[in-house]
Amino acid sequence: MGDIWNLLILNPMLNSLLFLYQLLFNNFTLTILVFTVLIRLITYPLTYQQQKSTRKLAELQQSDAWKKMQEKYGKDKEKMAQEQMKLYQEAGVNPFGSCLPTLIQFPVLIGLYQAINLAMAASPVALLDLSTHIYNFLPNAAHLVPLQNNFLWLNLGLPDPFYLLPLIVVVTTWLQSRVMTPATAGSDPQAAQMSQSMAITMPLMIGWMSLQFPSGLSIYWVVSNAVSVVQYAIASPVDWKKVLDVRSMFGGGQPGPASNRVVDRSKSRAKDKPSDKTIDRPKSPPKDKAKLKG
Amino acid sequence: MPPRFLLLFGLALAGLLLAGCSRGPAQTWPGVNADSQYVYIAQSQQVRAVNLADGKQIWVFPATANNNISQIVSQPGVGADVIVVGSEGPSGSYSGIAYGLDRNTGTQKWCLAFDEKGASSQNCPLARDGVPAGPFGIAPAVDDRILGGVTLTNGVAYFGLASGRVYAVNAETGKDLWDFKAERDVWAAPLVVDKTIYVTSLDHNVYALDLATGHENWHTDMGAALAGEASFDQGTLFVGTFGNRMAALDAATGQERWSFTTQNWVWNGPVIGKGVLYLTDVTGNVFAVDETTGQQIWMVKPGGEMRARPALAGDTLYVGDHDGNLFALNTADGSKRWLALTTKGQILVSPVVVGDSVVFAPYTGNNLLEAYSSTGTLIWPFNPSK
Repeated sequence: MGDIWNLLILNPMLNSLLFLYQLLFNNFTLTILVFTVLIRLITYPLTYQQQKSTRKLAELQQSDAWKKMQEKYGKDKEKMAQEQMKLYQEAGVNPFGSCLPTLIQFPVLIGLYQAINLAMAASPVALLDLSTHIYNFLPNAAHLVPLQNNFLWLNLGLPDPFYLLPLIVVVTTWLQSRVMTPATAGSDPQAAQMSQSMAITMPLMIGWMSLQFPSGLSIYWVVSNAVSVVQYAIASPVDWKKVLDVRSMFGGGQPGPASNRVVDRSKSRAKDKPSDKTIDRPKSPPKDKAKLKG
Repeated sequence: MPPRFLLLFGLALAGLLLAGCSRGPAQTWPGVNADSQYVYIAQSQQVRAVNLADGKQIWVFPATANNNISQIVSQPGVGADVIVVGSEGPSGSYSGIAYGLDRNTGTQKWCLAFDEKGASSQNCPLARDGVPAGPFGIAPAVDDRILGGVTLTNGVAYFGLASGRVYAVNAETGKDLWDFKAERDVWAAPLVVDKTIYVTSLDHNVYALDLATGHENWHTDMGAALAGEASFDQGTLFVGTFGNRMAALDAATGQERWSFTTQNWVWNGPVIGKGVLYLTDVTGNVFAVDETTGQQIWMVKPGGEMRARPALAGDTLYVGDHDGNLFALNTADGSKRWLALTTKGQILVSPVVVGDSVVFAPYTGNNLLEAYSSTGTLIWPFNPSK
């Protein structure tokens, strides 16, 4: 299994990374940046599919039909599940549609991460490991090793001693999770709570891990998060005021991530042609509802 | 659980997975050395002295694994009364510390830190040109780990750091005598010959320094990284490089005399016997090369990939591979005399030949050390947990 992984994912990525490193003036930070952006662009069709499914799911879950169903069958979990499936079918939504593209992207992103980690080779074992992954035909490969690992105040093989990079990792991961967290709050308070909790704990967890990471990997996280945010923002407009509203994360009366996305339904209908004829749309945006509730 | 949360949990899981993929404090294979009585092994935060005769542990330092000392992986330098080892410093700090230990008891005699963080955590003096704390008392991002070996000769220990700094330290007192700075990591024990010390570095250079002062006599750019130790014989220095070659240099001037091309990286210098160099490349080829001309005499590939320098005992050559195989080869033609399979692990460290036995340390194996007779019979395994 490991051999197949190396053959299909890790080795091509690692050698592409080294090749790019040569082209980019032996600047490994620049290489990480460009390579991460390239990989993200290549996997963008999957990301777009995921976003589309998430958006459709969010719209469905904010519909009156969904809420009525929840009110009606709230206590009968089995019946509610059946009704949910019915609504999914009627709206032409695959509840796993947002997961599948992400699952397909995971190996690529993990491979990218491993390739960057491997290329930095900060120990003898890592360097020996690297030697077994480099293609013989890669020009000038032996002369590239070890890669230049200094960037500003950083040694890319070591954690950032000033903790600035982990802080940026936390902020960008938080921003990414705020932007990409699917709509939930309006329809399911438990789900909204869970979503808010994830939006806080995940950035902190990743930030804590980046305290131990070589800073080269932290740079990868930051770039990767930034590209994700941009991709999501391009696909559908984002209400940045709400995204950046920290109070809503702590139950400050706002509906949380659910309403972060500005859903332009006319566009999404035109593009995606959802079969949502039977779904009653909310007549006012979620924000207004939240105010009324408050 | 709603499907959308599978996505979020998936992301969190991926985060954890990625964290697992990254390396914390970097590791390397064990460091092994021996004298006529004991074999010393540095691995997993501790260094041990093991009796060569029966494989029983004599002492261990520190008594329990210690995160303030962290990994001790460098090959110990062995003197008459003292052994010197290097560590990676407090866990995750990259602040290497050198320790002088009593050879017979393992008691610490001294320590020496190379940056302020290591010095304060272990209450060790800071070495000359050691890295002071930065703004707000924060240690700068300098990699001071001691990953390579220590060479101890005439009461002085010589070793390099991952930062590229090379130190000469009085082995009895821990007083630093001089230091020298290479551009990149020094991962191998320096080679001392008469009044010169030869240092290899990942910065692609081999340096010749004055033994007494550390002043540079010459350096030669080999065009690729040098991670292993150099070898010397009859005025010639032999170095293996990641440029898939073994080069012979004039030890006095650094001028290249000849170069022998291999199929992959050559991690270490060769072992030399009767005018023949024996070396391995990372692919797992074993070469016998004429010392004077650089012409190949024979080549065999007995097993898997190889990093360790071979060991020579009479007309038998010992080589170990990544699959845990130890081979005894005939120096005349490279044919196998016998093959000893380790129970598990990789042989990444050069076997040590003492008298009639050969001792090696399987990396990530079941045993920390295994000793074999010259005929391939297991004499003893050493595992501290058994």
